[in-house]
Amino acid sequence: MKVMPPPLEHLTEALRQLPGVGPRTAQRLTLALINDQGERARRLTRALNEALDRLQLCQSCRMYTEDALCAICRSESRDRSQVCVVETPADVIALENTASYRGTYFVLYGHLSPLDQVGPEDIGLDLLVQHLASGRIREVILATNATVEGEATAHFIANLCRARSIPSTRIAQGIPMGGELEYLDGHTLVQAIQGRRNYE
Amino acid sequence: MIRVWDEPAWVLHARNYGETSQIVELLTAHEGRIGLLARGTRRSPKAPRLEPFTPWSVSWSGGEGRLPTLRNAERAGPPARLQGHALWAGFHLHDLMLRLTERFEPLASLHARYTGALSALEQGIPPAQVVCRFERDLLAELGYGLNLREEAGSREPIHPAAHYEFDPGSGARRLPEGVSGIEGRVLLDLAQGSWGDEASLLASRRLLERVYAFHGRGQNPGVRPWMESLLLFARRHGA
Repeated sequence: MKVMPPPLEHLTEALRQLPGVGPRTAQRLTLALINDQGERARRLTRALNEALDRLQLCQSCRMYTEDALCAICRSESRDRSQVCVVETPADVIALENTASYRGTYFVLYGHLSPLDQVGPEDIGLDLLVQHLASGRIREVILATNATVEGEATAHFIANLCRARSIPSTRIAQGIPMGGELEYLDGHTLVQAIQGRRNYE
Repeated sequence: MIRVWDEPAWVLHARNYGETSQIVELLTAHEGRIGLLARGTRRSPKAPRLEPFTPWSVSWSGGEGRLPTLRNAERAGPPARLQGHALWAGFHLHDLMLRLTERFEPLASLHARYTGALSALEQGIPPAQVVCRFERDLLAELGYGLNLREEAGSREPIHPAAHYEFDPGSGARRLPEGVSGIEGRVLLDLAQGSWGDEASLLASRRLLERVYAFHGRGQNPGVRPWMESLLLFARRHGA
């Protein structure tokens, strides 16, 4: 016999779609949302509606924003001649948390993938090309993931930059902070040796 | 319970499964193409992320109606250094194998042929030639090998200057003088796997497309339209 009425089952199923939420967690969240006469659920509904109604993609970097341009693209203190290309908004947040980068971003929301049929327009490269044509960019930092598809995407964008004589750089690959050489895989070590730099 | 240890393999495709796992399609040396559930490979810094174009040695267990589980994977060599057209050609080979082979279909030499194709791409051999050669070899692996050096029936050797009609089911048949068809040199170039000019390579590709379609293996254009749109985008923007 089914204990959960259909609306609760639907809610559990919807919560299960979220990353990191398994069936038991989804059930716990469902009951937590409904338990206090639904006050938490109503608050969550309001917050979700607000996010859906007010958020859009920044017209320049494609990061989530309330306005036409995001805070980074609007800021006078950011270097607009430098663009860091990343795969996801989470990458922007990770880089911003380091407080070491003062340029702007461009978010692809993925990477080129022939087997998944993801092409240049799907990851916003038509907009990136417009930026490259604007004449304001002096460096494109390719910060896509160090995967085959990430590298392929970086290579493709580098060619677009080269066609407009705009220098592109690739983020370094190698030994992570606190990493011990003994435990690293051979390929990472090869990258680290090949990408070595002068000790200053 | 089936267990396989230290099997040489190439990753053809990996798609995310749940938060931390992947479902990986592999081309193995002795078991053909297989699909495996690789738990925890996406987030754990210690678990190797199964990337294509890298030779792996993999161990797995399970089966019997369920997707086998990856037990261990170790890199068996450095990744192939592929960029640009060579890399897209590599993905094209993966697409062909994913679409045209079945899991656990024993294809004796496919692993070796694919390894050879990657090596050729790395050495800078034109990707279109490598793909054409691989498509010819894949047909042979699937049991549809072409006789490109002799006429069907008479077994007369193919003459480079003569013209032939090529029936995908039976082979080449010489056409009378003055009737044009496929030039003999195209068939010989395809058999040899080396082409003197672009026209012969293009004719070989068209012939292979026809053979794949005949065997019901080529209706889906696969990654080709994707690659054409990529090249078009690059050309439109001067790259």
